[in-house]
Amino acid sequence: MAAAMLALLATGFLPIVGVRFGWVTIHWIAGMVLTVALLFHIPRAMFWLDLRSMAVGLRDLRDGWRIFRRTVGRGGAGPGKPGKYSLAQKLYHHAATAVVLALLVTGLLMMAKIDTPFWQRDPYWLSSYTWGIVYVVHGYAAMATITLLIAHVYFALRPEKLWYTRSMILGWVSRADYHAYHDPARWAPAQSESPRRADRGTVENRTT
Amino acid sequence: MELVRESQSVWGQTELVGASWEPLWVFVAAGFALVLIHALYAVLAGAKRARHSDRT
Repeated sequence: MAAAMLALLATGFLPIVGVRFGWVTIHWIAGMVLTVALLFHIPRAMFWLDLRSMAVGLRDLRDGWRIFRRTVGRGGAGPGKPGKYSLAQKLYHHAATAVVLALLVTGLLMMAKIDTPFWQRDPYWLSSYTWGIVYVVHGYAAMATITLLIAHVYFALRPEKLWYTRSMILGWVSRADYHAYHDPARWAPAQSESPRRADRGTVENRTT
Repeated sequence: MELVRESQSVWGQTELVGASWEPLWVFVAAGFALVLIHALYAVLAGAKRARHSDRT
């Protein structure tokens, strides 16, 4: 999914900044790859993983308010540890969901303008005004993705977040990080059954 | 700064073509502004925690 996103961003924006190359074919193929990845991700997240872990609840809002109060020097009770995802992570995911879905829907509409083995292009399928709206939404969603990407890379590289980054690559967190940064009452994942990982005390992303 | 790109059809009508790329720098700047604000916050919060732990 990440590779498809980077390919889409590169093929979408490099021509705009002056790097000329045949970008359209790579762009729509990467779009198809992203579509398939999302068609896998969404049912998996809904039925095999815990969809509620991404829902913003009252405790998340309370913790966010407490973080804000401490940030502006008002003190007060500290925020509790999050469940699987913090409020910031959930909000980022929801923003990315809205942007990427807008890109995918408009991008898939644009596939009507491409000759493929499955259909012939029909640029008159929608009115010119409607195509204009489609391209405006696609363009602004693409630019919003740039902002999200900058933030994403920054937080992935922050020293105190490197354990998150490792978990995205390797699929587990150490027991020490789990207890340090998560509330076991709000997220109780399955413990690792691998003897090798059990020695390290890791926690994997599996629902029990 | 233009927000959309428009063109004239063969019948002289103004048509919406797509998004203008002029706001692109706004989105890039917003991303780096967020990075800068958080980096400053992290430095200040870290300094405050260090002062607090020195006093206790």
